[in-house]
Amino acid sequence: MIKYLTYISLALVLCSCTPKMSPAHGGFNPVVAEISEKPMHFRATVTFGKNSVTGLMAVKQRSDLAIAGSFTNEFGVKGFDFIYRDGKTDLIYVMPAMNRAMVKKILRRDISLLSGYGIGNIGKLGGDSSGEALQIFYPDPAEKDRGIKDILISGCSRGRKKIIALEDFRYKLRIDLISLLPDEE
Amino acid sequence: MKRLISLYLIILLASSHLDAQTASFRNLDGNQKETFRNNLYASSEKIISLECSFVQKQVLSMLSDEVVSKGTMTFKKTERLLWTYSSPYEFVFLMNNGRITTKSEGKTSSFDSGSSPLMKELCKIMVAGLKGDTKSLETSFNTKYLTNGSQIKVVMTPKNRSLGSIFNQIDLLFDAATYLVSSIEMAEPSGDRTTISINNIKINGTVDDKVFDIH
Repeated sequence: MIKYLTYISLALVLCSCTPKMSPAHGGFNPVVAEISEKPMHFRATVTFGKNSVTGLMAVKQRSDLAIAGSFTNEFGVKGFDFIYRDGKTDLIYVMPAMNRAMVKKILRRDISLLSGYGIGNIGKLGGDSSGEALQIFYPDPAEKDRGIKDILISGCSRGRKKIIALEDFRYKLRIDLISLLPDEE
Repeated sequence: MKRLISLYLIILLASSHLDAQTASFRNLDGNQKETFRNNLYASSEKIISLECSFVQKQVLSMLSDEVVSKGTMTFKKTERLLWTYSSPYEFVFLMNNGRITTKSEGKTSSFDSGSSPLMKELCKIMVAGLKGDTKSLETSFNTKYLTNGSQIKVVMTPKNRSLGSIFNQIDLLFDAATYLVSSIEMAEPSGDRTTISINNIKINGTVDDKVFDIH
């Protein structure tokens, strides 16, 4: 009886320790082959309400499987640096204009989801067939009732380009990433 | 013992090479600095228009990555600057008498430069750098003038904290004979460094006003 109770307690403890943001497939730190050798560059558009900023997002998976990323504008001025690890995002640098508690809170949450579900699933996007159908990565269709509401992460490919989008309906924030081809770089 | 001597020689050679590098630029003294500064300003005053191409190299310190962008710049008096990126993707930035317009993926957006102090400051630095009008930057930056004989380097460090939170240092490199800018290097607090190399400079050519009409 005590044995069973111990097992049940352990199971409950383990379940309660699982954060809601964990990607459904591949655990917290999935291996993303596309960014493990060298950084991948995206043309990024961050839309907040009616305003938008464009720039370049570079992401790379480190040897400890953390995903490190940098967002800069076209002129090279840094917006933010982040490291996504174990389902959480640390903002290593945030430009002064964005250095507000609320902005950072939204960034941390959305980048965690974008990294875990969007960039983490980039290998699922074909890349050779033009007009590939849109894939929904979040919320996971298999776990509709779990996770954070009001956020949609999708991906598709256009020719050899891979496109990932995050829509945060609550804060009217949208992040679009379009991969750059090696010949463009 | 032989190994020790070889090691000593290698260290000696390496340190002398480093010395040569750091010694290549020396401070301009008071009179030299004033002469160069005044000549640079006089030269900048003659610039009505300027066209050039550029290569921008951005070092992302956290990723040990380098991003290269290319494009052209067109400046026309007064305060009109068109910055066109052709790679890695097309992006157009226009500063036209206090108004900023950007064009990306066919979408154009326009706003008052006052609403983006960073872009306003960046434009001021670029225009002053391209023209060689370093005097206009002295209200915002402490400047130091160095030379290696053929080039003059103007090292600028921000005077106020808000600018210092964006740039640690900006270096402008000029040809000492022509007073034309050859590179603009920006070091950021995040450890990133962006170098814009300026090429194919054309001064006071005919620049049609229509160039600055972005729709």
